[in-house]
Amino acid sequence: MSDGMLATDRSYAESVNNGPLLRVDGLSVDFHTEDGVVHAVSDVSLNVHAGQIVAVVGESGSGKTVTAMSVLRLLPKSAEVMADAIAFRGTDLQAMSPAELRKVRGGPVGMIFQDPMTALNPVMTVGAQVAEAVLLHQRKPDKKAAWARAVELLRLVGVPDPAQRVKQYPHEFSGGMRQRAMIAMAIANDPDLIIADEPTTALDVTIQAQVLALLKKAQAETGAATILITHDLGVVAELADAVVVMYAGRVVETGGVQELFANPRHPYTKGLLASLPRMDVEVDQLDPIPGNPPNMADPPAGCAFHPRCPLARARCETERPLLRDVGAGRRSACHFSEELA
Amino acid sequence: MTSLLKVEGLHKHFPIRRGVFRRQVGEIRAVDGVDLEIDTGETLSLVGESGCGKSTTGRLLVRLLEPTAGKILFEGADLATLSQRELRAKRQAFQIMFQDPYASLSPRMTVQEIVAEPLRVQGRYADGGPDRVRELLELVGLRPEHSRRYAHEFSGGQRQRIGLARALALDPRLLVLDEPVSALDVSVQAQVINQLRGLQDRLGLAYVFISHNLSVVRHISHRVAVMYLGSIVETGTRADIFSAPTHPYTQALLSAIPVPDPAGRDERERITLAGDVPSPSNPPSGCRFRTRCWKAQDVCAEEAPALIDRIGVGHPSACHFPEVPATVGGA
Repeated sequence: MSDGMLATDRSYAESVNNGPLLRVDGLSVDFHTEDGVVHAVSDVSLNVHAGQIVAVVGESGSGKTVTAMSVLRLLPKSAEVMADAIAFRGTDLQAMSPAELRKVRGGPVGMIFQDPMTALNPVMTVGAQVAEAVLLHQRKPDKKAAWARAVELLRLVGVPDPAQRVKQYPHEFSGGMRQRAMIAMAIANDPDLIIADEPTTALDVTIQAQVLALLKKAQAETGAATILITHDLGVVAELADAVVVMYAGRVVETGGVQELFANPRHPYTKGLLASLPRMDVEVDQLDPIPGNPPNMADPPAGCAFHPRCPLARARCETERPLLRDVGAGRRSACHFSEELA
Repeated sequence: MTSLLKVEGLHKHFPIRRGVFRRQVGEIRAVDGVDLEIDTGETLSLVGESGCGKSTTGRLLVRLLEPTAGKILFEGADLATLSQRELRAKRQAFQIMFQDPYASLSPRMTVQEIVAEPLRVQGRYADGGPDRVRELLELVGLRPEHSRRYAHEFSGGQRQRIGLARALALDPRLLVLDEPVSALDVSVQAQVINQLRGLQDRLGLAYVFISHNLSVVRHISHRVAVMYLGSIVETGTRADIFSAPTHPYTQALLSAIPVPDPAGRDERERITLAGDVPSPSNPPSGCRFRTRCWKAQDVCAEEAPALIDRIGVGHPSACHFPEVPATVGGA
């Protein structure tokens, strides 16, 4: 099989490689803190196929960001990452040396972080940062070409007057423009996978709409698969193909975006959807999930959601439900998910 | 009958100073001519994006900031002309609750002390203070045993409840709520929204609800004022704004909201605005929205449109070319 063929036809490449673009299997992440060990992520598995947008949804502390960061080993030293497999294009990322991993970061895997103010270097011009992203992955570094590419990339992501803007510093950019610069860096080397951590959370809604449209466009043009980490179910409904719902460090439900929104099979997903005030449906009273998200230093026994769950029974307090197939490509970690069908 | 709160021609300009002598080189017109009216028991929402002046307006309403110009009449009394003593007495009737449940509560005070503080400041604690604190905690859904704990021991939603109990301590008639649920997780946000509505029904409170989240605003408001660069561009009842918006900015704002329903995502029509909000230190001439508006004509650069009802839809809009769209946002 020639390389050219693999590059032009990803789905074909996938069938040849016999597996998803990214496969995370049995991922657990522990943090050692003063208050003891916190199991931030427990036994999370997820697959991302070529060209697919997978949303990882959850509230604060659900482990969604930690899951994504562990793929590229971007967690602090206090984190202990254990996984059966973290394979990108069939290669185990865990076995890679730091130098090899640096080739992957910003190359075939691009990253977009939540807060573009802290993710960009304040004492480097935006152009220099985008050009650096290009340079680091060139075989023969060519500064001039990298600078030209930076201008082109900024134009591509809709930064007006890019030839002038490349000379400016991040503080001279608005929030939306900074996020565009981040996206430019993420797509600089034609990635196969983009990991976007809350890419629009810090933005105003009209700017969010611009950036979401841009992400869609970037995805369509580069064909890159995307892991979209977000707490915003509206953003999920706009962009995602598949959804992974997390609660207290575990995956509680997965499925295609249409089915999952139309017919949630886990009481947490159902509760989240019911507690949203919506533009398209009028309700008299919101239906919130009672109680608060668990303290991850001391999570509830059994099913972590049982203290807030309307379906909870004695079994839920002691026996943790496993993620199981519930039909139509859906999976749910609830003993009683049939009652929601 | 006079309204509970009436605001006329409210301005707040912050000076920009430079150099050794801190010479004033310009000003930021954070609030630039705002009129508002709020009745007892109603919720008026101020919506807009960052920098539109909604939070500054909220702070002006409770006199945490001195207005540059304009009148604030609370129950008919002009707050600007009151003496310090009179203002302090009047303050009991209007309170504010802040956005950030982590920064707005003192980490060194117990919940009891936090909620009791307004009572002490107003000299009302000696007379049944502890009972009142207990009653307030119960009112917002906290348990009495919580009163000996410190703020850091609570989750975000519980902290907002503590802030709410503090704001309610003096039996206010008006509460300014500055992004009260923006920092909360969705499941908890709904709890606090329901609670705010329940309290309004029970206590007859008026709310000024400041938010950038239009889905929440649509759920909680009676009336809505949309702000852009320091002025109100459109105002009306909830139905006016959400079903018949006539200002292009309101229309764009509504259509930009992601709808949590993937079924119709490809059919939805979306107005995507070009560019960013201009700087309030150097706003565009004429209509301030014209630099991002797809309808802008020459007149928009020359003449600032007044906030009036031009086409007889029953609510005013500050646009030279108002129009009721055929279909709106997610509706």
